[in-house]
Amino acid sequence: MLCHAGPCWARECPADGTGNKPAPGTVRGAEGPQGNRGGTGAPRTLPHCWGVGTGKQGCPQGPRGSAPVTFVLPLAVTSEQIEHLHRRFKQLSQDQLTIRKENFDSIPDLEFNPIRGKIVHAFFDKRNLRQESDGLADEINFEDFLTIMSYFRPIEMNMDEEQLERFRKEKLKFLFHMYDSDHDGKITLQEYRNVVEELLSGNPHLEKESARSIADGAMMEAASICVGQMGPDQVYEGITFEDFLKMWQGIDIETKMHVRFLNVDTIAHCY
Amino acid sequence: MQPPAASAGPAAPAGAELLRWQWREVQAPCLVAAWILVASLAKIVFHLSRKVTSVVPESCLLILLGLGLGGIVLAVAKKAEYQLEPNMFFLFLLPPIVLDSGYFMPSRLFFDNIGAILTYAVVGTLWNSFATGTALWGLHRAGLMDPGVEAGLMDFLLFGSLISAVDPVAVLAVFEEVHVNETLFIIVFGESLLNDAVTVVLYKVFNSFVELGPAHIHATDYVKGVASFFLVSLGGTAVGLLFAFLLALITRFTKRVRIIEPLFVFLLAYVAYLAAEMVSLSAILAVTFCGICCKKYVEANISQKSRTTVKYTMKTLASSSETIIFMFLGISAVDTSKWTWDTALVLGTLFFILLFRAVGVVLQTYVLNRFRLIPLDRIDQVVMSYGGLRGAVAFALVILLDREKVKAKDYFVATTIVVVFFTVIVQGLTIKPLVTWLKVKRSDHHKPTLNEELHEHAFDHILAAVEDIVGHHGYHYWRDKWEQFDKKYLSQLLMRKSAYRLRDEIWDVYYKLNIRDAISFVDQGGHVHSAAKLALPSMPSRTSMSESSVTNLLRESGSGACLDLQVIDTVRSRRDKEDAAMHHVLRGSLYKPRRRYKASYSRHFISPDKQERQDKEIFRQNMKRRLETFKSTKHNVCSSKSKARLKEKGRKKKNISLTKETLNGKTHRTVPWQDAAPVLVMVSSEEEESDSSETEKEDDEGIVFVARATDEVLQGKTTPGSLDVCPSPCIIPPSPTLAEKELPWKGDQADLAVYVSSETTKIVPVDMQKAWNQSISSLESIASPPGIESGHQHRRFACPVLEEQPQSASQAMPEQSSCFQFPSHVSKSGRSQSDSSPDGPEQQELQPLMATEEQGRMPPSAEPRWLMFNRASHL
Repeated sequence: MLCHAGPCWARECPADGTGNKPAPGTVRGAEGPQGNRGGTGAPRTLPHCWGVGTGKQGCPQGPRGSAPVTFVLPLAVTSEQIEHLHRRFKQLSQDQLTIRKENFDSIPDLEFNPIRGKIVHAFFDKRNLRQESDGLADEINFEDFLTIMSYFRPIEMNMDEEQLERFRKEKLKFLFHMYDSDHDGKITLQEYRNVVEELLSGNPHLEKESARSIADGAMMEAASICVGQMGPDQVYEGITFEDFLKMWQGIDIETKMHVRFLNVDTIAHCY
Repeated sequence: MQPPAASAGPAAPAGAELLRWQWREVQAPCLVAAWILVASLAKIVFHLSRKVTSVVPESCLLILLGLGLGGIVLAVAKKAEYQLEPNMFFLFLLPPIVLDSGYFMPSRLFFDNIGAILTYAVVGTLWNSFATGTALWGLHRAGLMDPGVEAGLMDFLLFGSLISAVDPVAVLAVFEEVHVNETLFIIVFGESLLNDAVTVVLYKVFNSFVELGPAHIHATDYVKGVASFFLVSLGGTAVGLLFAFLLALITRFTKRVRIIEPLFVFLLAYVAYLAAEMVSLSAILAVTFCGICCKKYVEANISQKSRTTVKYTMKTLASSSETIIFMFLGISAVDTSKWTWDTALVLGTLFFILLFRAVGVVLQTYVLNRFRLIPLDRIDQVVMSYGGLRGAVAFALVILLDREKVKAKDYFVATTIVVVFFTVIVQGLTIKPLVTWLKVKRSDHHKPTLNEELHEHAFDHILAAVEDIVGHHGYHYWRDKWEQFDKKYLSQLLMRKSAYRLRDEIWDVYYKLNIRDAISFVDQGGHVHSAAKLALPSMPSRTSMSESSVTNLLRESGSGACLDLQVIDTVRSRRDKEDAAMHHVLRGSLYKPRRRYKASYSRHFISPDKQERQDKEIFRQNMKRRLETFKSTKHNVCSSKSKARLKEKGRKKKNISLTKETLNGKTHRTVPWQDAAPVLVMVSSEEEESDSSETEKEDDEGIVFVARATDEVLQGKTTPGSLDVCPSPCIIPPSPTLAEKELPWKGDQADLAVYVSSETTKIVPVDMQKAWNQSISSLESIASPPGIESGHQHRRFACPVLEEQPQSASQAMPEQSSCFQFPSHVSKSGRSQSDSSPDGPEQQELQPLMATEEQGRMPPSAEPRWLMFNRASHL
């Protein structure tokens, strides 16, 4: 499917004249649902509205040269990147305004990813979309798409400590939400086991049992890290986000969890 | 080796000799051995004082020692001897170091930074040599140098090429003690390894240019020079990859000749080096890539012992090579006959290499930072500039120069020695304070945790997925693709089937962590946790299992107890019970000596012949501890597993209903409590059991333990009342073979597959958990209904149990169910059951047959149980 959609789009885009027309168009269109859903104007006022979150605000006025509104952090996703992402978005959604889960099935490379389900899920997780509500979205628009993508920005050279900390928390939150599949703010053992099982599902020879024992071991470890010695009648319900942060202490997630969107030109794809 | 009488013949005509002086025959190897011995002894001396080695790098001390020894040799022999011969250096001393660094290279880190490493190695080295060479030439032209230095541009470029290469030996020696962060280390170190190709090519090209003479150099020669760079570097890499492939393939088939596995590793790597050297490709690149690439497969293929052997041998070889290199550097420097000093040249070279290195690093980093995800900051750049140490490679290369062709060789030798000494001693000494002063991010050697490993794996997949979704074919995309390719083809081809099947990084980490924890746990005395909390015997070890003395059996009885499968003794007399009681009493006092014995013996757990067994034991011990802590943190597994288990009451009910169900299965009598949930639970646990027992059989990596909600097992021990707390997701009717549980020694030799000591109350490996509960309960009250069996072994004797149930338990059941919550009743009813159980012989006959059948039927979840019932009803 994409085989046709891909190059078509790529060719159409510059033929559009300005080349960036479609982007603002859609983004403006996308603004609609956003206004409806939150009604809070969230991205503008949320304390951790960073990077793309604010970048999107600029989008309706045209991605290029639009005055940044409230940049908590410098905009890492440039207009050029947004354009690319938009092209890609169109490609995935087959020229629709929104992407549905099924659209992700059409990405051939994703097929072999053992935790594909969880990742795709994360794209539709409303917690990641900075919405007040909980649960799963049926479809996401370009803006949401950008929001998700913005979790994978690399750090900036000129970030100060506080920004880094927030940045780090954002990323961890994304990860946390991916593990916490029942949205109760805790990664329970069962949830953890599921993740590990999926992670290990690439190896057909490893028994489910080993996945379980690994998850159990990891959970034990988490419990010992987060709570220390517990009383005999204490119950470790699961990893809360605070515990999660604790576990990640000393690991530079900010240096690991990012994808380069730069050099987007190198990605003229045709599957 | 000993030359026969033939050589001595003419010299000794006067009959047979008692002894003969044969120094000539053994001279060469003897000298080698002597030097190595001297160097090693010196190392011991250095490390006597922690203060000295913490300030002064070992390489400095060795060079100084070499200088001293060289002085002595010079004074005694009146001539300089024992020089660092380039041939010896390149053929024997360098390969072990390079192999060691390649083989133990953190490959992930290396490939993550390969772009930066290559840039620094290629562009940086090119820049350094040309800039240094030209600048020195300029200095010469400016007339600042001694007129004795007869050298043209080509000579200086040649000198520049050999002096500008960062030396892997020196870098490794110094940076290993500095502990900068991994990224910084891998960049400097990777550069020093990979720049070999550039150095070799430049050196050869300029050398040939010098030999040709500037007049005879044509444009094609330059082109050839450029072409040869690609040839040398890519060719060297290709040779390395080829041998890595061969090596991996060979180790796939060494199953029956384990003993020579390590030999293959060293031989093939060395052959790779020689092969590359032979066709004048970059030998260092060949060995480096051979090491990096083969490791994954080789490690998976060879046995644990071989792995250890390879590791230690490699480290020993590399370390002694390094020692000798530095020492001989010192000794060689004493030989003043090769020296011709020129202050301008020496100072100029020192100044220029430092300057150009710094400039090069800054410029390259500026460019690289635009592409790097983690930019290298200013401090990193300082360390990188300052860490560009020169070493023995430069020295060997300069010695190799032909005095006829390169007129200024003596000047160059002197300069090189000064440069090497300066970088190794001065920079080596100061880099540590510098790093501290600049507050360079150190590597934090925190223990790798399982969670980290899991998250990082998740990361890899997430990032790859995001790149897929974005449609960006970046680093993660290609890494992911490579991993898939590796998994699909390479690993299958190069790994042993058994290894391939078990191969998984997460699992590896998990396993290693367990072993490590266990080792430290055992090392610390082993009984800190368990002995204090549980006064029960330790797990028996297999080693002592073979001994059949009564005391031994008594000591180890704890485990075999509930797991005895073959010797079923169902004669349950009062005497037996007394025995049991006696045994329990004895156990408490008997386990202690054994403990001590174990602790001390595991301290030397590396003793090779016992290693594997001990690994397993350690693993088990460790799991005990882990699960113990786990238990104390009390995972609420039950809540997620089944609602029925949320409350104790519910749990009990479920148990009962299950029992009922099982008992009445055939007659289809409706049971009041029978509902869907318990059945589900039972099914799932059944699956788990079979799973785990399978894994146990297949992995020979150890026993798979799975934590279960074993909440209050321990409490169950102290008060019979909490017995029912033992959560048992599935219930198999009480076993009649209580005697085994009570009289564990009866079953000790039965099945060595699984041992659980009743003392490990808190560790409940999935497949043992039930046997577990049983043993616990048997501790409480002898006749309390034994817990559940699991794992086929247990089931083996669980099945005969069923036979009696229809008669006895169906009557006992109502009573039991009504008062199940009251432990005293439980025990009563249990006793009544056990009393009413039929006697043994019949069961014993049936048992083997059933066991096999049982095993065959295991996987289908709930089926086995039905099977049991049927059989029971047949009876």
